[in-house]
Amino acid sequence: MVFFCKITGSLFILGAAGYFAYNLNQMLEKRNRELRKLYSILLQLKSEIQYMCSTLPECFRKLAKYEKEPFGIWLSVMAQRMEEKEKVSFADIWREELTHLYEESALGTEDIEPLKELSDKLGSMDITAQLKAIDYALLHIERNRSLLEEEMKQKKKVVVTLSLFCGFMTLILLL
Amino acid sequence: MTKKEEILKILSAKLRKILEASNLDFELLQELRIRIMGPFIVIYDGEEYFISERGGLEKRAELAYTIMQGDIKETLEYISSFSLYAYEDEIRQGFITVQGGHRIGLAGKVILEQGRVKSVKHISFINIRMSHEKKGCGQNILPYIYEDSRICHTLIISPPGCGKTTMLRDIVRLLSNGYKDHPGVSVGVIDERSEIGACYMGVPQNDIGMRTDVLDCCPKADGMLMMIRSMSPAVIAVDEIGKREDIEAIAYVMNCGCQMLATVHGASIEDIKNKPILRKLVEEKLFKRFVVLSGGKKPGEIENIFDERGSVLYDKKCVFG
Repeated sequence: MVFFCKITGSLFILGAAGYFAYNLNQMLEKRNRELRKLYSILLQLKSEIQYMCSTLPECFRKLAKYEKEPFGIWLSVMAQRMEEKEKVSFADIWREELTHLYEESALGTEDIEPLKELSDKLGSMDITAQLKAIDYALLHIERNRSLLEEEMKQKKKVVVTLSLFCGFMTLILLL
Repeated sequence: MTKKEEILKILSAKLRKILEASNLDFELLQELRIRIMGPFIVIYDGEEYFISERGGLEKRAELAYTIMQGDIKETLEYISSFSLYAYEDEIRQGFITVQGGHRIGLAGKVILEQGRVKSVKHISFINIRMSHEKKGCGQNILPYIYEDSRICHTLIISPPGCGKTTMLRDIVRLLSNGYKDHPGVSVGVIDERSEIGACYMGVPQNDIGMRTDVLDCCPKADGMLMMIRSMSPAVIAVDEIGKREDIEAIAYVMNCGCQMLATVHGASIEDIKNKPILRKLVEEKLFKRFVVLSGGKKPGEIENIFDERGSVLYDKKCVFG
């Protein structure tokens, strides 16, 4: 009976360690997916500004229709708050909603930082400066994503190995 | 959305609060003047007033609320929906038209490129002119526009702010829907500044009639030719002609069998004759009717109506003794 309990406990520990590794890998995958999505959203925003001359609320509303969580909500809340025109500046809305996006997504601070810099540029009269600022943000996002993809290959193995190693070590200690 | 909501929505929080406290009737409100470090001024029922911080209408400037830089910045953000770049062409011309057809005049430091206006920065002066849809104001003119049940080429002349656009809009509506025994005709409106139809997301906010097509935000000269080719209108209406290409396009439209309905800035026919570009309109008798609006306090009041020979068809002084 004691042996059976030990075996069951061991299996649980190993399972938990595996699940922990799987979760960490999923987080990395999710961040990668979201960086791709963010890149595509910024590209679409750029073309809406450049070719359609749409206003920012129009751009966000349009993009929100095709995006899933967390970006769909982020974009539609942006559009809604801008349409309400309730005693706020664009920079304030943008920064506040970026904080929400950070909380709701797997994106890191280093991914959000280049977006924050857009707060002073988006919506200004100078369309060229705006497009360049978006290009700059795109560059950062793409670089973050490349770094992440490189790291992912190593991190995935390390996470799985470490998790299982920790699991086995716990087992040995307990048994 | 009511006129009050349309206007309050584009003002900064402070100015919004002041106007809300003032209890103004927005139907009588004509203009809002916002100048940096200047008094908050309204043109209300034909009179100029200064507005105090508590919303009171004052006659003395020192009692008025002083407009701060933040008010201008915030108001500009709301006017442009946080997207000034989207209104670059309009700003270059000096104004933006917002939802409801209200015209926002802007002034500041002009940026030139090869001698032409490229943009305006440091915008510090804003003039909000209310759009007023006055149904029926064109009825007095219509009997003079028709000649043997045929619509005449008509030019409405008036100084700025005297109801040209309001008058044109109502005439368009009446011609489009039909007036008394005259059946409705298809009317093409070239709405360069979105003031006639006040289209918002493609939908006219003003009643411009059931047979009216609108080319919104389109340059007049190009728009007139496009409209003829695409929509075959019986009447083409344009607001505030003045450029050489406008006059050339008008001549083309008239030769296509379309009737022309246009407005122009001026106080009299003599004013038009003194402008080199517009002189042709009178001298070559392109227009058959000239409607001159009064420059007084009552917008849309008709001063005179002339035919192409200069004969007076209507005179306010004769009517009112």
